[in-house]
Amino acid sequence: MITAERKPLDELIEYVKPFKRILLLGCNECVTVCAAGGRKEVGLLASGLQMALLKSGSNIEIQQHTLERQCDPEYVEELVPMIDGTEAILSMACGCGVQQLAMRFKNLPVFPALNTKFMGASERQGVWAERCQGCGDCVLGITGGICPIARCAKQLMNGPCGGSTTGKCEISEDVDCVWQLIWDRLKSLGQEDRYVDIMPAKDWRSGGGSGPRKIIREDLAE
Amino acid sequence: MAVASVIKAQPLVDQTLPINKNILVVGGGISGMTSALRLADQGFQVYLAEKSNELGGVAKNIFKTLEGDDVQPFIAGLISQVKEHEYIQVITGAIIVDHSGMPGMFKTGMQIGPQMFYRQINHGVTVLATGAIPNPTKEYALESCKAVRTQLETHKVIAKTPDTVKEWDNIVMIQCVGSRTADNPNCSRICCQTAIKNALAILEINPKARIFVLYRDMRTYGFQEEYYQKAREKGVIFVKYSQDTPPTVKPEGEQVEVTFTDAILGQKITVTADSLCLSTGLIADNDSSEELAMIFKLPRTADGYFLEDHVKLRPVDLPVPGFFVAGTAHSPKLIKESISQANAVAARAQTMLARDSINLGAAAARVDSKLCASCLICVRTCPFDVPFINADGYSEIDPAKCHGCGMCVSECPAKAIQLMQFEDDKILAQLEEIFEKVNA
Amino acid sequence: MENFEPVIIAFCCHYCAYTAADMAGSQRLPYPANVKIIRIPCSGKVDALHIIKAFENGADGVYVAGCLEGDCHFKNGNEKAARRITYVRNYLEEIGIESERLMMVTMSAGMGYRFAQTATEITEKIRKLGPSPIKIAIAQ
Ligand SMILES: Cc1cc2nc3c(=O)[nH]c(=O)nc-3n(C[C@H](O)[C@H](O)[C@H](O)COP(=O)(O)OP(=O)(O)OC[C@H]3O[C@@H](n4cnc5c(N)ncnc54)[C@H](O)[C@@H]3O)c2cc1C
Ligand code: SF4
Ligand code: SF4
Repeated sequence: MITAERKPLDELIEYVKPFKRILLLGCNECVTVCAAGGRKEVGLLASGLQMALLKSGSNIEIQQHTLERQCDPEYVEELVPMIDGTEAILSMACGCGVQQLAMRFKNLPVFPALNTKFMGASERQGVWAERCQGCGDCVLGITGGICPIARCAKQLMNGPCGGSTTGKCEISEDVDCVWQLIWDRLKSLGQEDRYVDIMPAKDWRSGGGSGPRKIIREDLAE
Repeated sequence: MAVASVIKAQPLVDQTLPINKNILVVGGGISGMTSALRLADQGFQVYLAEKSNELGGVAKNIFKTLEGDDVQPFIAGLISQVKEHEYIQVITGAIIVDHSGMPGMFKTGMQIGPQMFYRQINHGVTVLATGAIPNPTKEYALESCKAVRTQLETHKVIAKTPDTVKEWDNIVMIQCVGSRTADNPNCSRICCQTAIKNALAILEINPKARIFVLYRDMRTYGFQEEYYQKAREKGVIFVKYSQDTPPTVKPEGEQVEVTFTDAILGQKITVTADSLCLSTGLIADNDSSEELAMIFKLPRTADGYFLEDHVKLRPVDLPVPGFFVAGTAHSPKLIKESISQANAVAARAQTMLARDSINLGAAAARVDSKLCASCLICVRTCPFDVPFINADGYSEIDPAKCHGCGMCVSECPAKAIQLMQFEDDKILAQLEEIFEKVNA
Repeated sequence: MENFEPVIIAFCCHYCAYTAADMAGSQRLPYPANVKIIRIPCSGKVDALHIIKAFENGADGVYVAGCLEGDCHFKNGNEKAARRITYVRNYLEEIGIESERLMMVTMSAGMGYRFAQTATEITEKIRKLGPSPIKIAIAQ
């Protein structure tokens, strides 16, 4: 899923300060799952903004709502009847949701309340870790199911750098060296010989290197 | 505030579970045996687990009550009835070690006997009757001087060797020793009447004896007052002392010199006593009650007694459904009061046992599947592993399994869960009402 | 804001602190009327949103009272509550409310004295801190 974290309150206050009435919009998908932009966080942020603004002497009306998904136009359409009088939207979705709103409501300023972080998996309650960078040409089949692009600071494709010590990455002792993980895994799969195969230089075009990407399913697309 | 929340109240559905009708009684003193007998007489299977190797508890050291009833034959009768009862299984040398399950269906494990072999008992009702212990205080030269005894020891001398009593000219009794102090703020309840009981018994054997009772307040409550009056009529001298200037004690050979201030004379008086009897009262058996409280998850008072669910409304119930408390495990009590409470427990337990299911109240969490994001946060946070993602892909909580703690409710990022009885709108209504009042 | 009387919301767990409050009552122990109690089944049920809402409504202080460590009736609700309180305290600072206005305390059901004492101490502490900045802003 896509993970995100709320932006500092000060930054958000700057966004919404000029307005008298805003819509604070949550999303019931990924950002709910990573506890950053669901109904609960919408409530918390609305109260927090309200109080911070009240302190500085301004008053603002904050309407709260949460969509099933902000990245689909049909769900966004639900906002139309309630958007009357709204001067701006503060979106608690990932960047995709924010842009979807901006596309739909041409005359309304739309601001992000979150910093969208990464595609990650949950390690345990309350902990999410980066796992994929969407390179468009998945190598997990060769690397024992562990991604050297998302999980190596240098995105090395053919074994570790010289900074790998006792299984840890040189950037921090808390970070596993992904190549150690890959090696351990290949070993337990009995596929050590995979490790010596040289991976050719990666073609980054599929990873966005040649501009914005798009997927079109001919059979579905109208 | 409460009204604001009641306005938002919704109809609730009680949750019920089948109940196992076996009873575990912990503690084989007068209280435990009394509850066990009453319940077994109704045909319920009772397991009576006693820590020591014999039944009877503290009352084995008491021979007569204030009213003159013989305690020992009574206990002997209780013990044999309990042992012979077809529905009571006595387990002595039993140490409770673990406990699990749900109201109505508990499992309690114990280690039994010198071999410590493990046994688990399934039960729906638990009675705690683990008693209290004589206060082991060492004040007033209790350990060093032979003329100084506790009231319990005095009681034994009176019962077993009355000839000794005939040789006592002066007897001093000090009340509230180790009770109503900073360490033990409780009144032990039994000591005032014990002092009167022993004083009257001493005068019966030795009418010439002079008895001084040094007290802070005489608390011979109820009809005990008649015996207090009788003691005064018979010449027992009652002298009040204050906690700041307690009597002082000096051993003098076989005797002991007790010095106290007489408030009326305003003078210090010294009595050379042949026997100094200390009313040392009783205290909670902290080691035992602390361990049981941890195992059974039960609350205790600051001084180590088990705390009932409500002083007035549920005086013998503990907060966990199916748990009851009787006797001095609950607070200091006389034998007859312990028996009354044990009977009350048996009656309360029967109100549960008469049914085939146990009512657990309505405080269960409920998921609104329209709001649920299937994030698993509730599944992970529930301490009892109740929520699960169902075949429709939404979290589901079985109300019969839910303990009603509300942890999933407060962590759900989609605000998809409400705890019945503690719904968000009710809590928010309370908050708003408070501030409406304050800001008005 | 002369004669300032703080308003303090106490979220009390049913099994410990709420019973302790009852106990304080039956022991005739006085505690300040500034403390308004909201009963919750477990301190782990306290919702960050409700704490924030209390401040938004003008509370000068909020505390959550749960069972002693290791004593939670539901295993670990008090630990969860303590973590949540730390989280919300950071948020309060971000908003511009002194984080000292939010506290977590623990006590057992039998500690009527501790309940009364805690309520008194917290009231005094909040009295010293003065009215919450939100309350001041609401009044203006
Ligand atoms: C010093 C003293 C003097 C008293 N004098 C009088 C008097 O004069 N008149 C009067 O009416 N009353 C008197 N009492 C009170 C009377 O003794 C009690 O009311 C009565 O004995 C209480 O019975 P019980 O069954 O509740 O507790 P107890 O008699 O204390 O029995 C409790 C039983 O539980 C067992 N137990 C404890 N912990 C565990 C455990 N973890 N697991 C299993 N079993 C356990 C103990 O071994 C014991 O057998 C006196 C009490 C004391 C201490
Ligand atoms: S925590 Fe809430 S949103 Fe997440 S699975 Fe449970 S009920 Fe659904
Ligand atoms: S209320 Fe408590 S016991 Fe019930 S499902 Fe939620 S976390 Fe589990």
